[in-house]
Amino acid sequence: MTEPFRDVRALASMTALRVSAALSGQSGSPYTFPDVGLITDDNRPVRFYTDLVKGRTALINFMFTSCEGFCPITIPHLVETQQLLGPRVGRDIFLYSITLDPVVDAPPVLADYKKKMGVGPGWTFLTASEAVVTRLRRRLGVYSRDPKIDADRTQHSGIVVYGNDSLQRWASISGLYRGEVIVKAVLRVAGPPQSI
Amino acid sequence: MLTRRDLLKLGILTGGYSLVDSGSRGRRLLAQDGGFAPSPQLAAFVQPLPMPAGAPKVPAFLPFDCGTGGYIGADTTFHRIVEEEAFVSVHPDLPDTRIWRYRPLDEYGRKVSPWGALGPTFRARAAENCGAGLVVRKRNELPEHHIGFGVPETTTHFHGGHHPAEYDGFPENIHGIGFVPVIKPGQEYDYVFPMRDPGFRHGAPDRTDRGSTLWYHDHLFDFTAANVVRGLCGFYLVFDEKDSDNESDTSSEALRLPSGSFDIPVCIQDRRFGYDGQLLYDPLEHEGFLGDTFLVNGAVQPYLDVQRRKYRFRFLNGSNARFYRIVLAAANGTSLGMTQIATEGGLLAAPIPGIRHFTVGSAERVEVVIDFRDVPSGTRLYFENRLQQDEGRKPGDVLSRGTRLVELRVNGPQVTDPSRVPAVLRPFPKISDEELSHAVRKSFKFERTHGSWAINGQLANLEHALTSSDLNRGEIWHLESGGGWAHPVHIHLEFCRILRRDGRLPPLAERDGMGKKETIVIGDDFGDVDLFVKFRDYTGPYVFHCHNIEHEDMRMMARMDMR
Repeated sequence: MTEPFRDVRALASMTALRVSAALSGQSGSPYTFPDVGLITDDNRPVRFYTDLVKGRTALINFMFTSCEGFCPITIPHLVETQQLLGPRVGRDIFLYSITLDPVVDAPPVLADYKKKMGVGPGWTFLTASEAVVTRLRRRLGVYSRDPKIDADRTQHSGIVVYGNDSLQRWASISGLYRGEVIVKAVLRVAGPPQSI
Repeated sequence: MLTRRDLLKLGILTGGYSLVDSGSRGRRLLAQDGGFAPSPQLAAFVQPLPMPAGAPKVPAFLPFDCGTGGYIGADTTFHRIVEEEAFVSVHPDLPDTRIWRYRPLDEYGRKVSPWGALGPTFRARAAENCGAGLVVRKRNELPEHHIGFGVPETTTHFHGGHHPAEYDGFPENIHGIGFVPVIKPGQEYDYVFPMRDPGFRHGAPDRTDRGSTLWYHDHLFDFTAANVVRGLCGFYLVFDEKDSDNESDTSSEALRLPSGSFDIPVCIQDRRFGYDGQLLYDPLEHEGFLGDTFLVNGAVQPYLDVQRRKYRFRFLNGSNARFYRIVLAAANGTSLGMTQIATEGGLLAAPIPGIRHFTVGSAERVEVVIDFRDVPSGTRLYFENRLQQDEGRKPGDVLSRGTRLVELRVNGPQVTDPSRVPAVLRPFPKISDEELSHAVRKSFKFERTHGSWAINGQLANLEHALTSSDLNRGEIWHLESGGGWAHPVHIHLEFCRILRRDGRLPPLAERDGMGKKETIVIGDDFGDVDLFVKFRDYTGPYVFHCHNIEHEDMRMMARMDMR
């Protein structure tokens, strides 16, 4: 998965060792994500980076609607998180849940699940091809090195990736934490509310 | 010391050296493993080893308070530092790199210039009594709206110190602890380091429990790894009447170890760079960051001119996740002998001569003395890392040839050398059977759970203590790791005695009665560990955690309260 850093590779191939730091704006290399296509729970096609992450603070987790292990814990914790973040959710902070079971979790199934779990506005559930989901998981560090565990969605990683694209500041936290702990972590990267 | 056999080999094998580091295999493997293109290939040994200067003394800015139960007295020294963003050169062929660093101020409040990557080397003296320590006022001048990895809020841990909780760099601001350790840009924090011998509060100061090579680095909850890759690291050396920082000391107590310009701190850090010279770091890779470019004291693979006499080298693994197996190697790869004198728990009871290698996990320190007296002038020797590591979770195979980290250029005639390595350094008795029999027993399992890292199944929540300890009461901790991961476990506040490793007597350098430790590698081939620890003197919240910093940030940390 070297895709996100193709800019660096391109530089490497086309320039001599001494490159002006100005080429990269002296702010370090851009921190980018694959701009892959997904479908929302209300059946809209979206691009991962352009439509979901760009310029925003985002929380991203992976789940599936028939999950009996982690999701019944994580999703309620994210519901708490959403409630604690209040009106900022949907304004400058967005939550995204991406299914690990795209065959079953079609948009209407995700929409029903949202309703059942008490998810409010500003939190989108998404599906995509298995290849896209795997690619996103790898890029976001949500995978196991053990291929057996990685292929078994019932043992999926319970972490929530969160970050502020404007500051290129990203981190992860376990979805086992209650909402108040997740909020404290997220606010460290989200900063104060933007122009309310 | 180099043995006669070593020298014989050297006589045959000296001469010639390669400008190019031999670690290209490692680079290829790393490039496949992570999300980054390989860093630019940079010529090794084209710049001298940087030696971070000390912090100037500044006028006292806090009142003396020894008489009222505090720690500041007439012999306390005061220092001021800032945390700032800077562009520094890590290699002459690479554009300057944007880093964060600690930089000292002089007595007039001016920033000391020029300044490099590492923070100032603090030099403290340990003592039984109040008033011999340091006070450091830190001001956070990092850019408030910083873009990129790293969070410009800071809390500094003086790693290996026996300090009050409020000066230990607690990772997070939480209610009810009585202090606010994490500061934002524009704010200041005063650190008071009493440097009093552990046990003083119970009338039993232990003069053998003195550190030697400490260091300091940022410790921000969830973001330590990113902040430390960005910079924010320095040395903190501890001296006393034995280890007196004077190889010509006439006192009968003085050990006269190599001192001054023959006492060399060596901080090894692996990093990744773009062709624009900027650091690359992916905060969403949680197994442990591995770089493909090696900095020593902030410079890529530097050289050091050495005279034909004894030197003291203080190795610090300042990397996030990489383990190093350090070998002193001749140009053809033959390994030569070194004399180990210390771990991160201070001087050993006695030197261990003739070691051919030592391994350091993140944050571990090892000190060695090497005598170059009989090495022919013109010889090139190398500190080489012979440990393969392609994944963050544990080190890999031992290599027959590794990456050369530092080139040692031996030159000139033999010189007068007043230094020595006495047969006895800092002897101390083993923990008695009686004390062991009364010790409280605790067990901590370090393991991965659903993408995070836990201790006894608990993810760090610093609002609550995972364990509490009564001061001055011995404890035996059993540390184990699951799932084939290696974890360098760092316990704050005290040095520990390693009783057993995988149920057996531990290696000599960490064995009780010989050495002390505060960062203990467990798991994978390192096995489980039983250790003795006795917390003393200071109440309040501290932490222990995995020092694979990505694991630490994914919450493999626990609060421990002293009461």
